[in-house]
Amino acid sequence: MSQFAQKSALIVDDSYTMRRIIINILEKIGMGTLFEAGDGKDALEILHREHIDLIVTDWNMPEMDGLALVKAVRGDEKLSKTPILMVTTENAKDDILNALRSGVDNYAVKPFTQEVIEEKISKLLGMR
Amino acid sequence: MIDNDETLVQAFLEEASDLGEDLIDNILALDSDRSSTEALNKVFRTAHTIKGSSSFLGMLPIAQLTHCAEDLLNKIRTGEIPYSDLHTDVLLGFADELERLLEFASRNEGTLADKDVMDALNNAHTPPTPSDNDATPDASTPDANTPDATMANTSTANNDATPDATMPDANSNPLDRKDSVRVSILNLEEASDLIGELVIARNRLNLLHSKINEKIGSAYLQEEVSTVVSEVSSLTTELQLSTTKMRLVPIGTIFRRFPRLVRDLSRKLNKPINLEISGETTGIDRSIIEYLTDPLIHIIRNACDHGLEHPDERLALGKTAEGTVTIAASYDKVFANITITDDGRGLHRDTIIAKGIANGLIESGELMSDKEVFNLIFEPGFSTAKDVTNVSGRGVGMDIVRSSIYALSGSITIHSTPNKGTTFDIRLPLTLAIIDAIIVDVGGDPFALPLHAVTEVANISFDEITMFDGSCFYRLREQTIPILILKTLYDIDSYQHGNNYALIILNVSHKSIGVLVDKVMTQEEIVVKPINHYFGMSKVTGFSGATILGNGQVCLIVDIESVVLALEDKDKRALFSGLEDRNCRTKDSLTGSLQSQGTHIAIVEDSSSDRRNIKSLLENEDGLSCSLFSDPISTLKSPEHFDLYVIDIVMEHGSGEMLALKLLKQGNNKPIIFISSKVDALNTALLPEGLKYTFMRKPLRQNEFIATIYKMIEQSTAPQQTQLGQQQDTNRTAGY
Repeated sequence: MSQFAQKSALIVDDSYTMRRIIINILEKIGMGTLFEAGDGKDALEILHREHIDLIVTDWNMPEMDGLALVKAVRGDEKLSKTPILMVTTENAKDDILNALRSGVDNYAVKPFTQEVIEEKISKLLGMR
Repeated sequence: MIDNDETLVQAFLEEASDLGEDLIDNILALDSDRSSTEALNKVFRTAHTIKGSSSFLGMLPIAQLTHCAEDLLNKIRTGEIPYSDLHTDVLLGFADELERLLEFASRNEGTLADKDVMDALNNAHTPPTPSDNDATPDASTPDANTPDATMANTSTANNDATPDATMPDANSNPLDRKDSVRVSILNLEEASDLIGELVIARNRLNLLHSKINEKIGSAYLQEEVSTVVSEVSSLTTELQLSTTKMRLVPIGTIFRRFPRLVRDLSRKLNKPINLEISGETTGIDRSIIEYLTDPLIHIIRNACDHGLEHPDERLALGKTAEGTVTIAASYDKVFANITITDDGRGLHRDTIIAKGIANGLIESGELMSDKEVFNLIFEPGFSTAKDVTNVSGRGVGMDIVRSSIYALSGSITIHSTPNKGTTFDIRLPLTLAIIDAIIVDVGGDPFALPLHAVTEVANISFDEITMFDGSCFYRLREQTIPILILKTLYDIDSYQHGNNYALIILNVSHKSIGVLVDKVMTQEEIVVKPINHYFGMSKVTGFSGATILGNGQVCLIVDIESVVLALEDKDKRALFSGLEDRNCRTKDSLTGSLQSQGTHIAIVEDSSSDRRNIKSLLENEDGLSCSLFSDPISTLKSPEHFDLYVIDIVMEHGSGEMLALKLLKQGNNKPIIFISSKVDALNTALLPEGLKYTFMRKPLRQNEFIATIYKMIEQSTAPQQTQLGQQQDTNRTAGY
């Protein structure tokens, strides 16, 4: 049984395809429960409703973007400790810097491999 | 790496092409408002998202291309590079190339990203020198992200001169596809087809219903069956309406190409052009929309190229230097209207006439109305090679535009005022799948005419048709209209001579034309089925399709465009041989007098479908009107005066014979037609002496029924009628 079987993750990305790609990877590494949201707003709603162990989020989104989401999560007493993994492209170096400053725990550059994600998530969930 | 499974690729292609569609809009929005962070972010996000996904799916050319674009856009976003005209061109080039690559990917074919486009994206990182940019000085095009608020204001002020109504507000874009799911076209077509079949079955059921009810002994069961039949009937209509809605695509999906088109034309022609678009949400059947793009593009090209003057010319006329082209779409009941207007030089009557004469289309324009003159531009052969510029000349003339619109059962008209501009009005049905039609009889075969074109139906006789120069005309009120005898067009040999015909008046492009048929049978909602593939590869002309009627008969749908063409082409206007045969004028005069007086008939029938059927038999008969009653009591209570009663013998609340007795007791001795499905239903022993009556068996046949009505009335009023009858010979036209 996977080490992640008891864990739940929320994938936030405005691209349907990207969500499918990330979900595919998380399913393969055996993540127990998966939620998805198309923007920060929907994400917060799910975060308030469900128990989420890990947030995997895109940075550039309409409505409420990654930065706003991270700020909202970090500013919320109940959610503030939830680990956040950001996925982005290598062009957005400023974004990465901004993201890390505002409270993102780690980031992965697209296209990432299953191994990279597995390793980063293990670290974030304190399993390694 | 993750699996490249098919569904993921499919999802990516759909998402990317959705994003790609908005891309050009957003680039143009950015071009017109360079301080728009929102437009810039949207363009950036598109490149960013597509790059992210394509890199996972191993679509390297797409990933490379979007990478270059993302790189450039990121620098524009951070203010590292100020946005300039050059960027709009480069980004539009990127959008086109992306579309091309996605198309290749969707066909599963490999190709490389165009090197020139990538180079252009990479080279655009260097800020342009002032000489590169003749239109706008650098100071007025600050970057959106610069913190300097005053600079952003300058930019808005600069844009105020040309208010931009083109771009729909990004936030309230009506084409946003929230709360919707994707359905494959195949599934949608299948559903439409099935509902088409259902409509046909429903029509049959309605027809059978009355017959079934005759066989059912129990009144309770009859009632139940009637309820179910009418429920199925109305549900079918609703279902059909909602599928029609499903098939509607917002016309904005094709309008969105036009800002780009007009921008390119404006540059090529060196004319500033303002484009205004409204009504993007107007929905049109997706099968229609496909064929609409090219005609619209053609009209817009013409408007920009030929319609709008050059700026100096416009200024001399006291107009603004910038010309305006307006495209608007709206609903009008079951039609969509699209108008394309320019405020240019307008059409010049004399020039068109001169050209029409030069091209041999007309001999002289003296007697022609402006409308007729303008319509010449739709004639094949009007455009000559001389006019072909590299903008408008694409080998498609306005004649193709008109025939494309006609093929969609639509119409197109021109309005134009010299120096004020030209407007093209296009009117289209919302859907082509199911149409209302009137079914006519020609030589014993049914034909359907789309109801949207029909304005009225007249009953006419031979004498009223005028022949001139091999063509037939009919005088309808103040107007002489050309008529086509359907029989001669389709060459139906079984045609039988008679003297009374139905003339269907059609309105095509604001012109009235007539189609002569034997008679009108009914009006029905029909499901249009394409017929070409039933006839092999040969193209069937004259018919736009076929349908199956409620009675199971196959019926061809007359193509209105063919009718118009046949009227225009003298060779096809066959002579109406029966026209000289005037001996046929018979007792028409008598029925004419009765009709003009108006005959009011009471129909007493407890089956609702039978009532409806009887009513429909009388509906198309001029001079006959009827009131419907479901039981004897309401009939007796009615204060109306009737010339004749049609009474069902076996009714739930009393027999027909009893009703006849009671009527007579009231002093009412009008003739009665008893009806029943059983031959021996009428108990003549119960009937009072001196009663004028006859019996007819259900189902009633229209001809026989109407003849009987006239006969009964003639008998009961004979002494007074003969005199009047001789004066009667005027046309009897009824609004349809």
